[in-house]
Amino acid sequence: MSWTAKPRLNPTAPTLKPTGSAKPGPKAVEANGNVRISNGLKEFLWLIDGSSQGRILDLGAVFQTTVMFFIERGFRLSTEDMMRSWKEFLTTEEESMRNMKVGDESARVSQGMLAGKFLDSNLQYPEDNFHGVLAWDLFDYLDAELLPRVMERLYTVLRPGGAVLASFHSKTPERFNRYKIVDGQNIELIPSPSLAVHSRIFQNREILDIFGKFRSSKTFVGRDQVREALFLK
Amino acid sequence: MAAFVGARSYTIVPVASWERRTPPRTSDYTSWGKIMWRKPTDAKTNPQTSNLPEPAATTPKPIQNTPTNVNAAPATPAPIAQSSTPTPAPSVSPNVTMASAPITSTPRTNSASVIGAGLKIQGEITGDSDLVIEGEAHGRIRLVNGRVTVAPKGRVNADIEAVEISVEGFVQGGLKASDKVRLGPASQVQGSVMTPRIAIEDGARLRGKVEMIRAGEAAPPAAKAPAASAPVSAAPVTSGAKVADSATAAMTTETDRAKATAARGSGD
Repeated sequence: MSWTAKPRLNPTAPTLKPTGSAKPGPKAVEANGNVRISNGLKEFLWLIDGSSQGRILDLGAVFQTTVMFFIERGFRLSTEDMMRSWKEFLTTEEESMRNMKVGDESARVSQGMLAGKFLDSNLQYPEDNFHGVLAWDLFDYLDAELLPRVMERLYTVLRPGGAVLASFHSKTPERFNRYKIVDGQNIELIPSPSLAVHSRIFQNREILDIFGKFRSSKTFVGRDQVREALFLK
Repeated sequence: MAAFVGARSYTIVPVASWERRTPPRTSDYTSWGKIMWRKPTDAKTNPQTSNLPEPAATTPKPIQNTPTNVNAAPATPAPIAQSSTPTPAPSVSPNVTMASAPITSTPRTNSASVIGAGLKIQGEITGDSDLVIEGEAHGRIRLVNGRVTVAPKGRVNADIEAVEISVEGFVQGGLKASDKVRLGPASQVQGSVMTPRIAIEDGARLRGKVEMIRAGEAAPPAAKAPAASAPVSAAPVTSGAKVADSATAAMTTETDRAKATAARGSGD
């Protein structure tokens, strides 16, 4: 190893800054603390590449950069903030339960019934509709009754050969984040008010079980111990 | 301002320049027993006076469209930042005569109609005026050459078709714009968005698909607009009260009926 290849260790030493005309490369993007490399996204884009006028379903919050990222590549993007919808649904249900008359048991529903009711008005898309689904920070937070039903619905709306990109935490996350695509291999984490309690940490085997009908493609583990999993229909 | 009439040109002297002077003697102002205004010689449009700093209160502003409230009930100004902001009386540059006052051309010359808070309209709204929705609208909104703004407390359950659509409130229905769509930070949209350009601010909620179309694809030509949708006067508007009738005329008969119904039972 050549000693000249060693990085400069003195933090106070002056560093060369790129000129204004230089384009910010991936390393410049990485300098932002909330931006992380997403190998899963890179692989996801490779998988859906070639599907002209492909349809993407983003199950997170909508962001301008994410929308434009896919639009500029010729995709049609559908967004549905599932976490927020779920939270609002639960809030509404709790409100109606609170307004129930004492002793009126007819309106009481189980968690499974709640999940079914939620999906009656959410994730309503035609079969085999999407070429790809983005689900960052979602499945970790969903109710145990809701999760398998959502996976079933996702399998239905995904085209054969379509891909799902999902992320799973390896430890309890300190905060709830939203995800914004910066470029083809970088995503920005946007700290947000927590919409739901992080339900559990899935082991790799459990993740495979959740995606029972899907074919496993690849899994990436980031420095932040977040696992990105790609599954194909 | 009302004193300025006709084509005679008057000169408005900045207050700051008066203050810098010494108080004039009374003899300067009186002549033949009448009070006369001293001719402000230094306030003519000459290069020296044009270099004076302009007082902040008299900064020239473009004359903008003023909202016209359809129900005319709430006298409170609309909280929309762009087209519906009540315009103060047009001020004039202190060093420019009225005849040559720069009446800046606004991006859109027709007026903006407002569905005020507390008003609920059902039916089809057509025309080429701008529209600000602070209340509720159900049905269909189709403004060929207009801009639709859904205010923060506005609720729309309708497909909207316009040149430009700006959403700050809640919309359940498709948005189809021939120019651009803007979703504000507190906006909620459930429906598809078809537009050549889109601006989504962080915090916006969109449940539906986004599809890019070519510019001008959404709105058909103005000539094809239905006859019932009488266009609002395209003359530059300087007073909100003047456009009240024409804005009401832009509503279709169906919506007029709905308006009357809503006015009768505005409890909801």
